[in-house]
Amino acid sequence: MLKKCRKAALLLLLATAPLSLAADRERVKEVASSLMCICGCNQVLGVCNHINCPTSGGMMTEVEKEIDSGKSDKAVLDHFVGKFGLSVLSAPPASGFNLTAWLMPFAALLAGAIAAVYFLRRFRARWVETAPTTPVDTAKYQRQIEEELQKYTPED
Amino acid sequence: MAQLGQFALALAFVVTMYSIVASIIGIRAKHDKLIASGRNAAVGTFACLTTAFLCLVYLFVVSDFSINYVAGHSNRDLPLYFKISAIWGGQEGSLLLWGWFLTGYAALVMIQNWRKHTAMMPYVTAVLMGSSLFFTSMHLFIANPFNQVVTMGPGGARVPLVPADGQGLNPLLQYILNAIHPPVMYLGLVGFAVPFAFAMAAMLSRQLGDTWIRTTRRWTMVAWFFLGTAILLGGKWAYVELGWGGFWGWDPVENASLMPWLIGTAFLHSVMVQEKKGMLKVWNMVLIIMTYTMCLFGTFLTRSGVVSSVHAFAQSSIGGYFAAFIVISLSGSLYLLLDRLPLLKSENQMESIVSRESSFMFNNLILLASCFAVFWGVMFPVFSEWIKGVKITVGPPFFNRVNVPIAIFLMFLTGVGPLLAWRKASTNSLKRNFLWPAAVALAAGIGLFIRGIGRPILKAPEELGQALFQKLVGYSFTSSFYALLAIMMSIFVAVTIVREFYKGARARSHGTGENFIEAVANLTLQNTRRYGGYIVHFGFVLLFIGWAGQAFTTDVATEAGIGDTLSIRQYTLRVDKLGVEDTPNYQSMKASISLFEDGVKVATMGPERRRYKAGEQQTTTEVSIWSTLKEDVYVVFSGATADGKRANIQVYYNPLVMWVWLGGIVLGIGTLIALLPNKKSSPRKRQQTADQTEEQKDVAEKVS
Repeated sequence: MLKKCRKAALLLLLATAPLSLAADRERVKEVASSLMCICGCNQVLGVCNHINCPTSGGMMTEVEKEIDSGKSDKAVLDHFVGKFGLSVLSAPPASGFNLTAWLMPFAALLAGAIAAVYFLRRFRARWVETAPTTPVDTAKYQRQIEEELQKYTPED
Repeated sequence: MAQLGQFALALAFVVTMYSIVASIIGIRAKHDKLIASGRNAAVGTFACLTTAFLCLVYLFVVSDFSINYVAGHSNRDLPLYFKISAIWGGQEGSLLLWGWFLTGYAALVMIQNWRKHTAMMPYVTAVLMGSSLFFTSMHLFIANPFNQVVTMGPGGARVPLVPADGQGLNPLLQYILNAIHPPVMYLGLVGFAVPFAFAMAAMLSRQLGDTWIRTTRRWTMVAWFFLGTAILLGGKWAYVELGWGGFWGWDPVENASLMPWLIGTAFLHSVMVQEKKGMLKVWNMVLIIMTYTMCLFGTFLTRSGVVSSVHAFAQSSIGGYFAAFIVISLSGSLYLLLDRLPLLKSENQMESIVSRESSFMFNNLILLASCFAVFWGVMFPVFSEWIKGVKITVGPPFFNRVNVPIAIFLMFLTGVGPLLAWRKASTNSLKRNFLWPAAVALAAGIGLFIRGIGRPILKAPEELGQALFQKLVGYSFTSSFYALLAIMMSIFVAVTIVREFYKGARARSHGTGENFIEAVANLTLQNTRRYGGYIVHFGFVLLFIGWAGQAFTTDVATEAGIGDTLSIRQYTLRVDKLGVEDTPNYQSMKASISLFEDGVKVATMGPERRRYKAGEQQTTTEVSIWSTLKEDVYVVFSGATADGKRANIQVYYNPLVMWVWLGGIVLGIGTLIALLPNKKSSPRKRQQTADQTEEQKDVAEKVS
């Protein structure tokens, strides 16, 4: 029984090993897209492949090594921040002062939407005020529309 | 020749000054001859700058390395077409090109409109020449392309020197699309100076009707067309030349060109409301002021070195001058706007939130929000350093996360807006117009979702903060789900457009007896603006689908020798040959690679790695791309082992990229159609219309 269990565990391990390797490759890519190459090319580490780049190769190896050592993505990113400073992250963290980077565009959109709705309502209010007060015989126009539609709509 | 160029620049400066002064005094003193003289001087400035530009062309063609700018940006072995494109490969030449285009536009505007808008044109002259004065003074005093190469002689004297050969043109710029990209970009950026000048002239002359908008509609579209084309050309260049597998990287320089384009697009839509309904007059002024300011700001960003970029080829200290010019131009125009505010009253009022007017307002809002998001992202590192003293980076993850939802909503409005009625849309018309497009988009979305596109929907963060906000921003939609939404929106818009053409052409062919294709063509040509607009929107749909495909890009990298293979999706690549090539301009290492799709050979690819001989002997990569409607296989030769027997090959599988370029072409065709004047209807059709009008009158009489 124990032997069977061991065998099953081994098979499971073998079956999941390539999966975990594939997942790790995805993780390396993911982490590399959260980091900037520090060679001055102004490109994300994952895409910096310019010839003779003095840093991207080394940085990629370091990402792989850190992930292989069992660290979480965040821990790997923290490791790079500790080494090169905040500017190594390809986007600012959503905390503290940097939160404004993330919030401001949406705050501006919200403010714009509020302003647009306010102006629309004001325009409408003004229009309602100035709209003619005599009741309109809509039925008359409706009849006219129906007649004209019948006359001019080609037969399908 | 350099002296002639120098003289032409000096003369351009004097003539520009004269044009401004003559126009202003002429307006004040109501002196027609002086005003006409100011106009002639404006055309004269163009003649002067044309002379200067041709002198520079000559100096580059004959490789006159006694001139500092020529020596710095060209070399003897450069092919002739790159010698000419090298003129705008650096600061001085590109500024001259900008200034030359500006005066060219000004001269064309004068000739085209002088008799039509006599009261407004002197102001237009003064404003355009005001901008031109900035550039001519830059050419003459700050970035003069005709300065000689000098060295320090005995006793500290400056002695002329003629280097044996030039430094060469940056190899990254030695690509044919990039040779034409900067002039097209300048034609776009400079082009917005014309509607801006007319807007200022309208306010200065207090002629605040829609004359300025009608007069500049085509100018605005031309500028918008050039700017959009330049952005796409830049994308194509980045894709083919930079070798990182993508066409848009949210680089500050890319963003610098996107910002004026976004506001220019808002302006292009918003002016329609003023033309049709006499509304949004102040708003249109604000938009054109912002568009022109963004054109200048973009140039400032590219040249000042305030932000770092992969594209900045012409950085120098002129940023300060540009900043001053932006401040003067912006504050002057805003002051004028505030002063004329009481004269800019709307003639109509908004009646319903569900109407075309309001959809234009939301379109503007979204485009502006998108522009602001880009601006904020570009400038945030600068703010962070100023305020907190901390250097940070705002890169692609930020722009994608903020702008992708905005872009998807914009696509939704692209479908909805044109089909809403002016004033107020009824519930019935909403149902009639949108039920089918929404149903088709939803069905397609469900089909794609079942096939795995758009899954997983959410991406959870590894560590969630405790604060509610952190929880909220922690989760995000996956790029695959965004791509699904983008494709669904694109299908929705495409169906609305196709239906519009179908309905219009069917009604027309019933009325006129034309066959369906004829009816589509005549429908388009008789209302170029509307149907050209639809074609432009359709171009965007294609572009958007291409962009959505980027969510599914994959790549592999390997070291391979002759005979080795590597696979990516259904493709297999086999290295057949590794060789070296020597040309006068560069040395290159080449790989010859066979590409097999499902085992069948479809192409031979030849990625290269080049080392240019001139100057600093830069190395570049020349990618090889196998392009189909479904996907691109993109091969990069990124290096070789020391013995040259094995090559480092990187292969990207990029789905749907061709749709981006096709979308660009459709977009261009749509814009050109929208620029055409409406074709007059045929005599038979006119007679029918006249008969119908008579009948309508009869009906109206009967009813009343």
